[in-house]
Amino acid sequence: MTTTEAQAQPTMSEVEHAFQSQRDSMMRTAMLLVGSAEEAEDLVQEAFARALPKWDTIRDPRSYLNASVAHGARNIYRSRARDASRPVAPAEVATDSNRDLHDSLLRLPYRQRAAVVLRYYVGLDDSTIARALGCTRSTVRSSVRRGLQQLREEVEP
Amino acid sequence: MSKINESDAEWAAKRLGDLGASLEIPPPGGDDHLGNYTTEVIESHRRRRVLVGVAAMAVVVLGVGAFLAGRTSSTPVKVASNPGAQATTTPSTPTASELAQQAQDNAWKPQLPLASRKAVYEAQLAWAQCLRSNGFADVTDPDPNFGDGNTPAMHVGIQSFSNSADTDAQTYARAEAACTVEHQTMLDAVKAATSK
Repeated sequence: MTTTEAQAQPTMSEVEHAFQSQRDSMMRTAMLLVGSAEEAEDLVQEAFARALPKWDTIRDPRSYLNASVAHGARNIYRSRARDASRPVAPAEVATDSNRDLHDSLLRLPYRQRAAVVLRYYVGLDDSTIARALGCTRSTVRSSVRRGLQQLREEVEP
Repeated sequence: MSKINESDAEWAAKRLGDLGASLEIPPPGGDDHLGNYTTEVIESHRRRRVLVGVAAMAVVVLGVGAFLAGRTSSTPVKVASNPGAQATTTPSTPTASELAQQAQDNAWKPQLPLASRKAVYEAQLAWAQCLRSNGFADVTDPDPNFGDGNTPAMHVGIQSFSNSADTDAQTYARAEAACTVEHQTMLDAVKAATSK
């Protein structure tokens, strides 16, 4: 195999390593976004499944995977909106104060919630968040501001 | 709306960090689901790569095979033994008797006098016209030059019945019955020409 061919194919050990090292943080991101461990698992799995064929072309796997999770979470919310009767198993949160915050977070409109989580929990920049959410950078900034304001009002009245 | 101040940003980063850390993450493969899934995805991807590789190799092998076959086989020729046949086939190696028959079929033409060729042509043309008038629509006209190496009977073909030898034979028999005189005249003309 030539060097070019080797670069063109994802190395399974690299993907496995990325999965092992980033799985938990991605699960947490996904749980913050959708509130359910079960759906978070699906999101993380799907993000890796989508990334796998083009792994070697992804410059920043962490950003890509988290953006992919956010994109998938948006689809989950759309399907939830279509089928409101579908039960959602809530994630387990260790402390009461965090549970309040989590509940408040889940009450935010999805775009605001995702913008806040991707900005302050994952640490992505405006452009990456905008691509993940399918909106402009200015929309990201306003979503972050509104979401953050509402969170503080609810958690620290 | 006011710009996000630093304390808001710090608050959000700290609180969300704490919240994220407090979430209880199911162990990888608590029911071994996640690990299996990832392994499955990786295996699926590997299998797909293998399949693509095998398919590409098969295409190359088939392409090379077809190229070599094209170089070693001759151009398909028209089947000459059946009067109605227009199908093409790749010839097998002819036997000695077949070669002798081909030589006999073709030997008459270069020496055939113009008058004989004209008689054969006119007999074949009459046969073709009779066939058309009896409903055999797809009939070719004879070649007035007789110079293409075919036997005389081939110049009047029934093209639409060339798929099956049985069908051709049956059709030819019906044609022969419908145009008995013209058929016999044609055969006589061919026989007279080739016997000279």
